[in-house]
Amino acid sequence: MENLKPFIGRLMLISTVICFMMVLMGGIFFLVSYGHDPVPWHKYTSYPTIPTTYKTIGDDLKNPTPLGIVQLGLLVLLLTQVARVALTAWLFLKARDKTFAIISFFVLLVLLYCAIWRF
Amino acid sequence: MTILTFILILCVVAFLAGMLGALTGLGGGVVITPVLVLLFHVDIHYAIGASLISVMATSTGTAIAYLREGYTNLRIGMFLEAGAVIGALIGALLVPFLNSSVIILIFGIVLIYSAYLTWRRKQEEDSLHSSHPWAVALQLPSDYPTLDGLKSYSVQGVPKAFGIMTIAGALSGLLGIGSGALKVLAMDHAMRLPYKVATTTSNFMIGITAAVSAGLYFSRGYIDPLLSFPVVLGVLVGAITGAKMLPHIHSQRLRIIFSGVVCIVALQMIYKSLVGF
Repeated sequence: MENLKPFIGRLMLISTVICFMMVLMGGIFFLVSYGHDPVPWHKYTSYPTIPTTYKTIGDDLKNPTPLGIVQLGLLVLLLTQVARVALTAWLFLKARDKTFAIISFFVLLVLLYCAIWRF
Repeated sequence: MTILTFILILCVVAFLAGMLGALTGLGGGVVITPVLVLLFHVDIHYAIGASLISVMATSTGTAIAYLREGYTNLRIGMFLEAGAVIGALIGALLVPFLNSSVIILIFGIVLIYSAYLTWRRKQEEDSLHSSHPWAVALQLPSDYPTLDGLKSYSVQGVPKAFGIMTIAGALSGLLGIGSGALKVLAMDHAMRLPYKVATTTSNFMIGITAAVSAGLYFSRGYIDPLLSFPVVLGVLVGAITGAKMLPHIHSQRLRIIFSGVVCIVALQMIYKSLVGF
């Protein structure tokens, strides 16, 4: 089991760097253009008008906006959680640890349903 | 207030939240949600959205160091996570039949009592006992780094911990809060793990639990990039700093920090159930 940890650690490191760079880049671009505007408080006291989906985040890529890049970074963070369970399940399977492969695949299925399919 | 000022304040708050989350195994939501709701009057749904992002960032940021250093017990994490997702599914089914403010009130009182037990419990006095038969069958016992080198530990009360995790999952499915506290308590009180193993393994798991709810919050538009970007940046830097501090902090001091933070969470819950923020 000990040799599973470096693989998962490496996945977390890569995705953390990608997420951090995307969020930082989008954030800086946004602050350069709108940093001195007042905070749109009214937006955060009511229900959101534009629901987000994978499609709307994907559409934003064709004509990237600073906050669209941030949103993509947040999506990387969400998908990292799914990826690390998938990697753990696969590594347990490879190590022929059936009980933990089944447990991990079960967690993965619920996660896929909640984080992706329902999304 | 300008956006720049707001972002800078939120970055500092998120840094502290990440550091505290990394040390206690609670994620950063404990700090982010009340600051956004009570200080900036942001709607609770947006605050929970930002809090879920902070929990995933803490979990991801700390996992690198804790896995490398050998604190996290991956098998215990995955085993208990299965209990949490079963609970989350049960919780989602029970939503229409339960009065959430009564549950929050009871949960808040239980947490204060648990914080008292955590604060009172002395250091790893029973880690030399033999493990529970289920723990042996599932190969859960392992070792962790101490100042005197690697130290083996046993694993007790596996069914009890699995039960607590199922309740934690159901509560987080019902209320969207508090699962980090119960994860640490299940591993500390029921499994009798060394405290640092409990908090770091909780840190590994909370990101997965948060992702279950985050998909829904994303799709409804409650994960806002303007609120979330300072949170991610601050929390990631704070969590990595906290993970570097962990080996140098005595477990008993961590217990005191944890008990203090859990009391704040519990008071938030009691306040929420009485006032309904």
